[in-house]
Amino acid sequence: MIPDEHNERRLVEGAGAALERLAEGLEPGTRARLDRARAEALAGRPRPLRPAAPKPTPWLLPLGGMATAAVVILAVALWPQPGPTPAGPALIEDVELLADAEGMAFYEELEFFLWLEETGGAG
Amino acid sequence: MSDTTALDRFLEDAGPRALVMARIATSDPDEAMDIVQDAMYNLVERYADRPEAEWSPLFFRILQSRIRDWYRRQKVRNRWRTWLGGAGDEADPIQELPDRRGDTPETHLTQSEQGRAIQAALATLPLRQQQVFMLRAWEGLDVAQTAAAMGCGEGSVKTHYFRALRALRKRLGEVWP
Repeated sequence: MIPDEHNERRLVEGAGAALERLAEGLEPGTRARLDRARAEALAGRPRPLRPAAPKPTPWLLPLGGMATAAVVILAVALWPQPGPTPAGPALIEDVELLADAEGMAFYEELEFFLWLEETGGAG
Repeated sequence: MSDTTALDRFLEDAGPRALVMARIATSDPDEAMDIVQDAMYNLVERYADRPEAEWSPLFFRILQSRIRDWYRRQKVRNRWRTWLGGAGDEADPIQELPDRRGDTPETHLTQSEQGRAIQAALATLPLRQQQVFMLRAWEGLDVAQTAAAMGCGEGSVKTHYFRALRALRKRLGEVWP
């Protein structure tokens, strides 16, 4: 069914107004965080969150490549045969995504995720 | 940096809307705040000298790119969790996230309930439809600006927008008949 113009306009305007109210009604604490983030960005201060991974010194670069290769080899070797396996490029992309600072945090939390899985996430 | 005051005003105005968009996309207030903060830093660092009229599409392009990046990471993590944890099939992480609002559209809704209803309805849309709807219907970007913000073609924007409208009408028809 193609929505007619009148109904479409009502929906768009109504949804837009409702979203606007959500933005206007943000909690004071959240507003304060936004204001702080804005001020820090404009002042050119370093980002307090999600810091960029420090660039390795040139002599360390081969080590990074070797570590990535090792993870790929390990993953391929351990991959359970009957289950679904991602294609080669997808696997490499996954490893690149996971091998950054955030990825390391993921591995650190892995035990927790596995526990969560076992307990069915009941809390 | 060309005009810090104007940029400050722009971010003050756009920031809360960006946060709502990111919250709907991630269903995680902290992740959403990080994404918006990142987008602010990027805009200031890279595009502060651009004409003021370009800030909005640029800012929302950065924001949408960060949201897509987050979404992609979640997908990868879910795939690896599934493999490492031996759980079931891969699923859309957005669809998997719990709907914390827990309501459905009803005929007589207060304004805050309308807000929750649109939030919940948008959260059920595929990410691209969600993005295109908010950029077009709320942020007021035209098709070309939306395409630039989303990094896709104008035809794709029109298709996603049409599908989003159709899905939202189905879900919110009683809220805005």
